[in-house]
Amino acid sequence: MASKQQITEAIYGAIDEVNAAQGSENQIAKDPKAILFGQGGKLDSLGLLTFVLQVEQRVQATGHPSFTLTDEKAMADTATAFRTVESLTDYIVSRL
Amino acid sequence: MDIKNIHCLLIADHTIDQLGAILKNGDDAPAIKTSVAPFDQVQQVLMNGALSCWKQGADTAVVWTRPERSIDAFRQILQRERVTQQELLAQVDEFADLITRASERVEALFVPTWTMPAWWRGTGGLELKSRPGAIGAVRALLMMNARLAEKLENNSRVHLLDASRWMAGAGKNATNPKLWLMTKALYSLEVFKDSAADIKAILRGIAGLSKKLVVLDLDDTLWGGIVGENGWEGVALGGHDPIGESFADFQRALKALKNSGIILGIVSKNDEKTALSAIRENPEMVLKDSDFAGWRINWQDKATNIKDLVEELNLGLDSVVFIDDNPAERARVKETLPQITVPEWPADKMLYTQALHALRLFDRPGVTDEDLGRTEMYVAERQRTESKSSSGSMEDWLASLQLKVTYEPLGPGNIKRAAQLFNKTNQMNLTTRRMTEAELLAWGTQPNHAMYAYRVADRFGDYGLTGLASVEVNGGEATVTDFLLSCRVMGRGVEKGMLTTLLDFARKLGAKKTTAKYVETKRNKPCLDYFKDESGMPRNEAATEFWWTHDQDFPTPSHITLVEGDGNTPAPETEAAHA
Repeated sequence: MASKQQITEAIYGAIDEVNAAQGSENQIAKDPKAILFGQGGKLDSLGLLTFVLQVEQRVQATGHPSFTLTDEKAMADTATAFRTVESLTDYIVSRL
Repeated sequence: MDIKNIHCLLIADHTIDQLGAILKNGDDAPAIKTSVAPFDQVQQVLMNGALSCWKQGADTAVVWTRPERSIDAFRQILQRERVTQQELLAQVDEFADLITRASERVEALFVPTWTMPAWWRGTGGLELKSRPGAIGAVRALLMMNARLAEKLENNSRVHLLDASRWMAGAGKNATNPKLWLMTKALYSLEVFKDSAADIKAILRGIAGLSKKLVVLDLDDTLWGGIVGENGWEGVALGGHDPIGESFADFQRALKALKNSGIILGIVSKNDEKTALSAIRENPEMVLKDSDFAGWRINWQDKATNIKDLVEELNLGLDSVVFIDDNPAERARVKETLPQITVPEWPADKMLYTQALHALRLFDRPGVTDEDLGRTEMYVAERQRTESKSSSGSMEDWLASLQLKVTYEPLGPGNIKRAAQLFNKTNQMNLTTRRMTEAELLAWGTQPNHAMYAYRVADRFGDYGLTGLASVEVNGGEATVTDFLLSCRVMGRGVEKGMLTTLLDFARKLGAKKTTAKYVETKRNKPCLDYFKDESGMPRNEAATEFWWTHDQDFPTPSHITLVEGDGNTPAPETEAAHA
């Protein structure tokens, strides 16, 4: 099973990817406390979905080809699970 | 087009907002302001220039469509419905007509080629086949893209972009069916990043900012090993080992660049005789000494050598790329000559060719005959320099050149090169205006305007189209609006020949006086010096205005033959043109 570190790296990789489309004032930090969703979040709805799918692909590449972040459960958990890098990491690890 | 203030309208049948964000926020210049046309209304937007999305100041546009959406016959092909090739191509022609119509509203219009997602494979090999009434989808797509390219190839404002390369680069992540279903975004950020980089590279080329000269190191750059230690027989080049083959590949890629009009030069710390014998005698060398416009092979500082070589070639430092395997030399050049582009270079020699191809520095809106013959022109220039040193006086030398200056109106045969010259010339440039091909053509066709392109040739060869000048006549007053000349032909009396043609036009339209007003920039002092010291025109005290009254003839130098051309004049044949 992928380690928490691997999952964090996968999330950071996705952050690198989406930052290309973010202005300099809206860059997302590669930091466990960085806010991804909700108040203080810097991604619009398209950016968030792109980010989610990026994370999903990267987690799948760690040896979990069936992993999904876009099922009903994940969507229902968005507000808490996607709040920060740290909460997303924990959420993904809990679902592996 | 103002490169610092570009506004791009994005027209697509899929969510394209992220391309806009990358065009605006990406690291590479220029930053581009974008707006997005109404989603999935491509045909309406292309057809109707009165729509509000066209009224927001866009000077460029991207039209990115799905093949099954913009060409209904292709959708039918995907559904295995009967479609003839004729029907398919007729729809492509209609789409090309819409693109052509829209291109008249902007200065540059980008059209990515049609692709299918990598995961789509249809029925495999059958997709490349054709039988009556049934065309394989992959075959149809190839035909559609080829037809589109053919229909648009003479439209200088339209730039087709190879989207299949972006797809291949992003691999299986180029498209994500879930992303499409959830957001209607067809492509990944990776694809958008690649496409944005290509668009920006072309825009830099349109603005005349593409690179002209690649300066190369020798040891471990053009061949493996140190020639001074091992002799040319001992360096790795060609043969049957991966390193030697990689250097031969790299040289082939450089030769292709040279053949497309990019100049090559050498700056190397080496013994010149040893290095040149390696180039001339090693049978594995792909590049010959005649492929290089010049070189500095000695033990001096490379930055100094590069500056010296660039001056000799009459180029600007900002048009130069320096490639060297040695990070210390790269750092030194980068620090000393910040205008030069010094790409990071892979330590792994087998990646050199790939690194060269990854540089988006050589994009140009078109390639002219002058581009293709540029290196030969430098060889001819070397011969001129040799003849100069053997002539008795400057007058003797100028007379011996047999200079011929052909002036012609702008037209299809010269507009590409004219626009390049117009937007790149800095030193001998009276007013340093910047205009696109379309703007130049429009300006030059006004009845009271004349805009001439000048081709210069002498007994050593053809310099090509090297000058551009214009005059505007209003009643009895005429104004020289542009006067620019390539450094390659400055100081040979061509300037006076150009002035003669402008003054002649003004006089014929009734001007009593023609004035040239100098607009100072950081780099055009040579132009001021010319008008002050050599033009023979009276001037005001501040030396900002120069004039000629038409009650007297302007003295044309006797060593120049002025010839009127029609805008499609072929390059004169001279001995050096065949050198």
